[in-house]
Amino acid sequence: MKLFYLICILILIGGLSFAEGRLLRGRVTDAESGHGLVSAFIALEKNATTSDSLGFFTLELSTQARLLNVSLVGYEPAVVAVGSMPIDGLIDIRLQRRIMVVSDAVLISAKRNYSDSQFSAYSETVPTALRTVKGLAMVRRGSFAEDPSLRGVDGSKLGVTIDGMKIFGACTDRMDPVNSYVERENLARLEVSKGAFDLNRGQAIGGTINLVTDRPSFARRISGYSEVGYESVADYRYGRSVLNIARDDLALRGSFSFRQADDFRPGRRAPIENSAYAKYNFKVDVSKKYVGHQLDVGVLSDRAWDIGYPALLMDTSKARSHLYHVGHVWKRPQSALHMLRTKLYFSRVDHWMDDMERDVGQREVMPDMHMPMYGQTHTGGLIANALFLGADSTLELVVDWYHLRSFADMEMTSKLPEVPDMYLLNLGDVRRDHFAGAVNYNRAVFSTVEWRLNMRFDLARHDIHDPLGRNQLAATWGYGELAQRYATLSASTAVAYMLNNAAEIRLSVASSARLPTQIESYGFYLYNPTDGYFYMGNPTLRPERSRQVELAIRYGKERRRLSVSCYYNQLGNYIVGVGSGSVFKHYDHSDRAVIYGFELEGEWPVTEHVMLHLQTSYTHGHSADFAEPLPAIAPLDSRIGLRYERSQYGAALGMRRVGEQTRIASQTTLEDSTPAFATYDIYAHWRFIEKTNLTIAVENVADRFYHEHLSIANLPSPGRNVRMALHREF
Amino acid sequence: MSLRKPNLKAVILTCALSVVLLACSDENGIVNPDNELGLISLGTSQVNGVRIELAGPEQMGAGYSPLKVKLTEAASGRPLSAAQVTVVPMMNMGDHSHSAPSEPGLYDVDTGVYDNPVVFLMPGTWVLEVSYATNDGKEGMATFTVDVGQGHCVTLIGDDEERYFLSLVAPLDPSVGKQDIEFTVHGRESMMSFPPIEDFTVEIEPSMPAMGHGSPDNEQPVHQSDGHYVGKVNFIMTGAWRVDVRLKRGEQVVAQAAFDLLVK
Repeated sequence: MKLFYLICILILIGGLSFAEGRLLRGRVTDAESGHGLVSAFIALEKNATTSDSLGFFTLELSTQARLLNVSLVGYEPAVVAVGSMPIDGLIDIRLQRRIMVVSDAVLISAKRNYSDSQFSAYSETVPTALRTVKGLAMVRRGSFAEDPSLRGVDGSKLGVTIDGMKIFGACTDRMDPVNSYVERENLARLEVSKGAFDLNRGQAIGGTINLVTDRPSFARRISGYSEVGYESVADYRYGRSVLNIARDDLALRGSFSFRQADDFRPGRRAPIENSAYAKYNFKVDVSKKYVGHQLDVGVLSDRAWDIGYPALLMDTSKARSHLYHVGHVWKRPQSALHMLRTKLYFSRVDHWMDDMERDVGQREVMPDMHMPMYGQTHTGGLIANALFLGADSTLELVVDWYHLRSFADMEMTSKLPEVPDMYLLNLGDVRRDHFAGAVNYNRAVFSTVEWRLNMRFDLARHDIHDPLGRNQLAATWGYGELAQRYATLSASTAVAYMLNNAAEIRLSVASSARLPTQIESYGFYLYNPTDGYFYMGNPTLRPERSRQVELAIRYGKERRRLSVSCYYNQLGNYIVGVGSGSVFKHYDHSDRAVIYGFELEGEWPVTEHVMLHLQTSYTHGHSADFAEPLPAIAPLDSRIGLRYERSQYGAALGMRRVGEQTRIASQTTLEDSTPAFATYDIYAHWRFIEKTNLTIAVENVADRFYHEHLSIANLPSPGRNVRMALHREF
Repeated sequence: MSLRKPNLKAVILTCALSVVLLACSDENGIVNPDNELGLISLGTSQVNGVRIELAGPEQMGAGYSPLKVKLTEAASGRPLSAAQVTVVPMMNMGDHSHSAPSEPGLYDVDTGVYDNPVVFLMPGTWVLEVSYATNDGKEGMATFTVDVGQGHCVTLIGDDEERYFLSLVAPLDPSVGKQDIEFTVHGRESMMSFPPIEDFTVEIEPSMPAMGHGSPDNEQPVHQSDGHYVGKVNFIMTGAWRVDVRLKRGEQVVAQAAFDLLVK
């Protein structure tokens, strides 16, 4: 009997020792400073704990333990794979600082992430990637150069930048929005910041879109990829290549692409004439590392030609842009001033358009004449960012200055010999200096609350310099009003509360201003095909004002995600075109415009390899002054997707359903209703050889004929499109 | 009265139908070497010890013409400032003669000349009878002959059966932007009497026939004095413009005309 008890005790002691051996010990630290982090939340399947004042924690391993989730307010969450066996020593988990996320980042990198829910891996062009962002709609004037519209606010009122650098389209008719001068291979991601809550990169009322470019990589000596592709709907063919060379402290990245499309075919109809285009793009960047410093130099150059815009009166014969920059980054990991980044840049954009391919005898507006137009913008600027890291807070200071010169003119040559030539300036050498400073402060309050405060001031002055341009505008406004100065203050604040470590509720409010664009202030005789009016600028315009609030809830656990945002935007001094007699309108203020809406997105694993994705967005816009809906508001837009992913191949089914839009404007502009439509898409990719990927897709499988509400002149969207692409890495 | 702005090209070019030039480079005359007023000498005459010099625009066309008269004592060269000066234009039509509107001479202290604008009602050969009468009893008259080419004057028969003469005073060399637009309106009482009409409402409507539209921000002419109506016209681009003019009494359009201008 005594022996039995002894054996039991031994087994018990043995069992206890075994149990002690199944504990996981670790430490959570700040990745930059190495300091231990208190109250970090650590979860392993059903077991969870928090770190102590020095960052240490102990957690019991389970037999099926796989993923250790670590999170802490103010830091990016980390996921670490652990096995079921005990580990000697401590696991060191380093968390990266996170500034409160106010953007939707769309990954667009070369290494296509097919697990990304928005199918952006399948997006071949920048506009198709932008279109997948909820709340973002694209204005179509042709099959090229679609123009983003964010939460009901159109591209002319959005800030679109390239790595924070300001670049302005040269066409007064918005045929060359900033995104038309970049290509997919230039970009690492698109940062879409909706509303006025992120004030660091520009004045925002509708939001900002920052096209973040890909940088030279130091990871490997030689790397890169090549891709060729074809799309049937427009006989569209393209090729692109990226080469990255790195050696010790020097890295170079070069990219080149060429693409060409013929007229595109809408659903079940003949091709739309005059919708072809061709372009090439190249980008070269060199980075050199020093101890604690890095110097970057780069050029981005884009040229497109023979671009047809069937929805407009003119086509683009040539569009050309060059963007040069020199940048410096100084990283000081151990000090409070953690990073200082400065960038000096210069851009030049030229745009030529004409109607030589059009039958001008049949044209209703300005018949029997050709009217070639030329536009040019030069922008030079300086941006500086300083990032300070405190114990539980971050402070970012931004200084942003640019000088813009823009010019556009129009010749009118009649086909009738007795009619003399005509000439006017659409933008008579407008020059603007704009200086801004922004402060962005993030702080972790308690262990579950994060607070963000963002403030910005803008100082600007602009004037029109060409004597003919001055005479044109002074006829209406007087010479004394042509030069203007502005000073505005904007602020936004947000509070985010983390519950259950899986969900976050964030409330944001903002009060912001947007200076009028050079077109709104100084544009002259700009034909708007939507309402048939000639728009004239108004130098006396004051900044637009906005007060916004947004409530967002995000939930994410393992592979389930859900996010819901509701927003309300009250606009004052809203700039619209107001009739000034016969066929003319000028820009003026209207008060009390309201835009509100919601966006919802969710993702669920159906099986281990199948994900279901759903997103929907809705915007409601109303002008109290005109007692009618705001124009160009996209209707309810929903997508459902089913995605199947294995390591070497995958497939996806997508459906997009867009509701009808009957809330239309008739006073501020002339719109018509747009019927509802649904389209279906199929995608597949297969890595059939190492480093070589084949993508096949069929978009608009049903060859549906439809147009988007934001299409100018109801230009239809493409019909069934069979896409193929071959992508080879090296 | 507004003067036509000097146009260097016009000075160099000679209009084929323009006036007979009597070259005169008199340093004491109206026409100074710099020709800053855009005027040329139309002739000089001496009557009763007074030298009369007449000057006018280089390109004299039908319509309002800003003539100038300088009077000087022939012996001393001293200008005569206190005189009544009239210029009566006459046209010989063969079976009859008729006059045209003229405005009484106003002495301009700055230039030392008398402003005596007339309205040539039509192109052709006109005789200008320039008369003076001083306070101390001196008087005299000289005649000058001028050839007048095409210009901006139209003869209208109103719906009241009356004859009206509408003349565009400015702008004769229009440019892009907003500028004064001025008309004179005269009626006819007899072959010799053409009084100014001061009670019209004048409406203008500029347009570009090739473009199918006009321009915003014009200011309708308002009567100033002596049949002169002044407003603002806005030309938004270079090219061919047409200015429609309507002469109204109340809501009734009595007469209308159009002027074609080339904006450079």
